[in-house]
Amino acid sequence: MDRRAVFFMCSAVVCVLLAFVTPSELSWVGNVMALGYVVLAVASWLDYASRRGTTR
Amino acid sequence: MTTTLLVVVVAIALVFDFVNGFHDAANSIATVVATRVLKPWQAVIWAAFWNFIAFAVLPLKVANEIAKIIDSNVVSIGLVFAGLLGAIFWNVLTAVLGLPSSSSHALIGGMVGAGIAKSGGHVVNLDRVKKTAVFIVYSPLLGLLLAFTLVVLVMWIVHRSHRKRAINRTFRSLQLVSAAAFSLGHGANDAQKTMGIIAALLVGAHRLDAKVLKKTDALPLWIVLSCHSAIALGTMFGGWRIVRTMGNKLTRLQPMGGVCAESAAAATLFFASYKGIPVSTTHTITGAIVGVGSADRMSAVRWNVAGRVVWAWVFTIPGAAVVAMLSYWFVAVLS
Repeated sequence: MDRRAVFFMCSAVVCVLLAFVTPSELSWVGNVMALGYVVLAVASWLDYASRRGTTR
Repeated sequence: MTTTLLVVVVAIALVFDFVNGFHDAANSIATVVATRVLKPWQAVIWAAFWNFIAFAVLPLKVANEIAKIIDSNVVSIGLVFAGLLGAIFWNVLTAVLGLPSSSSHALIGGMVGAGIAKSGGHVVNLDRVKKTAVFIVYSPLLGLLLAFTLVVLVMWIVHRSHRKRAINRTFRSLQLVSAAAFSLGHGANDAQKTMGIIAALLVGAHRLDAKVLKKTDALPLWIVLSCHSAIALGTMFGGWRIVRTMGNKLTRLQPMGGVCAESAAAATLFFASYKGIPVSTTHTITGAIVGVGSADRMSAVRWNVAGRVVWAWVFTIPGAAVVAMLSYWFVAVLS
């Protein structure tokens, strides 16, 4: 399991949850960061999967 | 008598600012010293200079936000004194226990606690406290996100190059820029917290017109300059101590990682300062360093240290608030 991708996904969830309690003028920060973390999680998982494929 | 007390509390606030610079000096200069880009004395002066001139570059929105955390009608000398006492006591306690604490959040917690002890919860501006509280989590996560993205981009750009020495030399030079940017962000965000406390104190004591809190650029210049001087002097003195005791432990830092971590943390601090959000520079650079480390592999990150930082996030504001409440009641009984 790619621990880094899991960490990034957890961070994305934290950002989404925080966006709900962030003052309205700054709630976009949480959403943008969540999106960024999802992108990183997917990229990290693809990197992990491709390395596993190469070593088999 | 009132004037004397006022001068004493302003002096305590400036000492708090000095100690803040002293503690955070390592964040700004550690990488440039460890990679021998600058000699220790040069690094200390470099960081202190950028700490000082931050007021000319970034708006004073953080100071304005801090000054309005407690209703200015109830701010008194005793309240600010108790708030500072709470923050200082909390910082000393966490230092003794070895917990990484944020001076900034201790200061905010102290003011909130003293305000509640004096007049109850209604005097606390909850929207501003909420904004600060959510950014306790956002700022390291944003630093991590930016640092990871930056380091991956840079590695992708340079990984095919065979001119390793030239690349290393370039990043060693770039460290000067990233350390300056981080020191600028540190000076802007942290010095402004003390400015806000002093402004609130002077407005509460009717020595300053409350109108200055309505604008972000109306603070008297002597408050701005004294706070930036205090943090810059703290950086100079703290830098010497840290370079002497920690310099060798940091040699594993690579110039490229240092540049990415400092640039990401600086960008986070610029954003926070521009939006008037008080954040912890220590938490921000910690997040950025974790980002650089995790780009290599997850086990490169000391997760036990990161876990201790999270505990500090959770406890600093309520902890300092409780100490400040007790301090306020103690001061009230004495007076």
